[in-house]
Amino acid sequence: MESSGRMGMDKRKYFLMKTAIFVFMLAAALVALFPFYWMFVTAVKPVDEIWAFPPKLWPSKFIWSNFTTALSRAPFGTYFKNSFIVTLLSTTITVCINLLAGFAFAKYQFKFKEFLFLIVLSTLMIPLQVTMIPVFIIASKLGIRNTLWGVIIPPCAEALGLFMARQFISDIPDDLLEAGRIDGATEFTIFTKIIVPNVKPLISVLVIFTVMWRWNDLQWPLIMLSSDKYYTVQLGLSNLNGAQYVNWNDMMAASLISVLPVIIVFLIFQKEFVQGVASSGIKG
Amino acid sequence: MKDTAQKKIPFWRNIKVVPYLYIMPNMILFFVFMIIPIFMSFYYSTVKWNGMGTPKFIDIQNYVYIFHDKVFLKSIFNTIYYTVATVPFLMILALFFAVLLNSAIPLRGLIRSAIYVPAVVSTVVVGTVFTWIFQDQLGLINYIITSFGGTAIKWANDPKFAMIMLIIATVWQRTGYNMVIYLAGLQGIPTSLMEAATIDGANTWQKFRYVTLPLLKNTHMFVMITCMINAFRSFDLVYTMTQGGPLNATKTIVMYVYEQAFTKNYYGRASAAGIVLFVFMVVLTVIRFKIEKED
Repeated sequence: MESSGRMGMDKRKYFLMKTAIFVFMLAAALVALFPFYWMFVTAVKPVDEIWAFPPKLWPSKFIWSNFTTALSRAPFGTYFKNSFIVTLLSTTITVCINLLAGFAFAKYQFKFKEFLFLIVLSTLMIPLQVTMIPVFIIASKLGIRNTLWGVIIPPCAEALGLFMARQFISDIPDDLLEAGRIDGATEFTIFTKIIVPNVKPLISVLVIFTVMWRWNDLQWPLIMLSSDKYYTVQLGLSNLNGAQYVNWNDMMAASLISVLPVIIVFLIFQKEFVQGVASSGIKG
Repeated sequence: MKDTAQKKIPFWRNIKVVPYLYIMPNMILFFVFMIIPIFMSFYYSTVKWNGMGTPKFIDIQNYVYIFHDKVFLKSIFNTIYYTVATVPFLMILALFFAVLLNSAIPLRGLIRSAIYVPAVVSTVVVGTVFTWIFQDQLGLINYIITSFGGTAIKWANDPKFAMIMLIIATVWQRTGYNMVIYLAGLQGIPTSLMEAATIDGANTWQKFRYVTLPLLKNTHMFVMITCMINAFRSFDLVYTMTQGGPLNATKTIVMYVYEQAFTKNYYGRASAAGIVLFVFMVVLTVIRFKIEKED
């Protein structure tokens, strides 16, 4: 019934549709990327072109030293150092304690197991604002408020990471652990020698997501820190953004430097990212 | 399992003790910085206290106060406004992009990454860049508006437009994340179903409307509820861009709690508002778990 002419039409229509989709999605991608471009252009512009109106879409010359100036003039150097310390230590602690706890919840029987896990899971969605004041008071009592430890330690026990660790470790066959026990391995060696090597994808997902979360976090530094010398990049940027006179050169240079690490991590681990998001979308 | 060896080994290697040791670091932090604070918040919501001296018990007066406080009521309205405005945009755009990217077009992986990239960037940076783009006198957006003959808008300083600015920034930042979830959902649709629909003579729109859309029901629900939860929790963007102003036009519940607590030192009122937020979150979370159970 279908004539060959109809088929030709379909092919042309198909080609046109593909082209239209491509052009449209390319435009969407450019919109998504534009603010990064604008960050960059603003960061390297000469100062007087910042104040030019209409805005210059392309700087007359590139002042690369704006980046080093931003790092030295504003206290951004200190902010970056603090962010780096917080991210490094909190990621290490978070991943270790979540793996251990996830292992226990996945592979051992103990009293209150289901109950404890349910409690952890039910707090997954609670915003920091609900617990903010008590957390602030407890941290003060413990003497970790207004220190980097105050930013690092309290959010380390984190429900989503524990949940993911338990899910993933559950899939490791019990026979593997039993074989280890028969060989005389202690429970801790089973963890280090059998569990850890078998959950490398889990570890990379946990590391990536914790690094991103901690590097990008504003709220914990905001409630814990009062001295400028402990500020993280996000807290520093956020406070400067509210200032009366904003030096957009510095702000955009610092912003750009602060997003570089996460974008590099993202580009390297794209697959893990997409899988992580997709699996959190499917499993919850 | 190994009953003979059990008695000789030290207790920290006992299989009955080991799991408690493993969960201990996690559980200590969890109880000290999450569970205990939740209960303390309930208690603080019933006292008058500024952080100094002794808290004074005033039963439900804090709740009475905040529900008569125009600013708090406005913050509930603003939170709902922000949620209702962002969620449909996020869902429709994300689904639209996902469906288009699910077809074989050139540079597909690159385009997907480009649209996803805003989701990995910190919200503070997003807020900073959008503050600059939406700046009154020198901002790019106002330049575009004026060059098309419009009048410049005082975005962050205009109560009518400040929230719209936040909504645009949110949609820009979060669409890619939801798109990736939708792409995963689309991959779960068996190709045989699509082929069957093609054989039955369905056109592209009909295939989308009667096959893709209904089969993504779980994904729609998941994306919607997570977007709602995120909208209710959204703090960083508001704090960075508007601090709740101008004239409370962007003051959300989380912003109200923060302000009562740390700018005004009304710990009781802040806790009461925090508990109201907690109730909202519990409702959303219960809905979420209900949906997931149905899967």
